[in-house]
Amino acid sequence: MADESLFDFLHSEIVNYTLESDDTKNKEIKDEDLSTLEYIGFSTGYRMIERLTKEMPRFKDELDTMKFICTDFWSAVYKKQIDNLRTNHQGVYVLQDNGFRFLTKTFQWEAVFRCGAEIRCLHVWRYQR
Amino acid sequence: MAVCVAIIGKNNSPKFFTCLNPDEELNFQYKVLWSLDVVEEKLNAGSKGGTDLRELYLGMLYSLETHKIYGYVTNTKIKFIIIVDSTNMALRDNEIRSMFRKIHAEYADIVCNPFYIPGEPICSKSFDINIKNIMTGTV
Repeated sequence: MADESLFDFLHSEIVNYTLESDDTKNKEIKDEDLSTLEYIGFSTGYRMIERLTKEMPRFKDELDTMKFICTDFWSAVYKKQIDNLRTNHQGVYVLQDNGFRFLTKTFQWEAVFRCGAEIRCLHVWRYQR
Repeated sequence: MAVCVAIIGKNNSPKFFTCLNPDEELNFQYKVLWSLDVVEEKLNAGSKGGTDLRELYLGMLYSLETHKIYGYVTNTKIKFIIIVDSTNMALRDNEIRSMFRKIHAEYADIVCNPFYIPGEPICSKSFDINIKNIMTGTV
C-alpha cells in the first residue's frame, strides 16, 4: 500500500526538518528541537486518543487502559498489536514491541533516537492522569 | 431542550460553558460546580459497587425543583454536564443520551483542530453554534 511509505517519508522529513532548521546555532539548541518533536507527538497522540476512545465502553481500571493502548491504539498507529505486556502490579508496565515500525527503516542512529523519543513521549505524556 | 451545557477537563478545569439565557449564567455555573461532586462519587462508586456499568453516560446526577442535571464522562476524563428545564417537556433518557453522543462527536472534532492547544478553554464560534443547535434540538 502506498500510504505506508508516504507516512514513513513524511515522518523522516519532519524529523530532518526539525533538526536542521537551525544549523548555525550550537549544540545546546538540540533540546529545543527534541521538544518540538515531542510536542508534535504529544498533540497528535492526544487527538488520536480522543477520537479512538469515543466509541469504547468505560475503562474500569488502569489495566483496561493499558490493554486498550496495546491493542486498539497500537494497531491504529503501527498496524500491529504489541508483542508483550508485563506489569509488576505496582504501577510499572513494560510494553515490548519487536519490530517497531518507525525504527526498522531508518539508517542513522540519531534519527532513530529521535523517532523513539517522539513516540515515547507521546505515550508517557498522554497517560499521565 | 437543554438550557445549559458545560465541558470540564480532566483536572476539573472548565473548558467550555454555554447557556441559552445569559442572565442565569452564574446560577448555572454554581449548579455545574456542585454536580462535579456527584460525578466524582459516581465514578468512585462504580469500582466498588460491583455493578458492571461500562457506559460513558452517568445518568441524572441531581434533580432540582426546576431543573435536572445529567452527566457523561469520556474515557479521557472529560466531563460533559447538561442542565435541562424540567417544566419544559419530559425528555426521554434516549434523547439525553443522543445529545451527549452528539456533544462528544463535536468535542472530538474541535480537539482535532490543529489550532486548538490541548488544555486551553475552547473558544470557537462554530463549536458554540453547533452546541447551541444540539441544545435546542435543531440538528
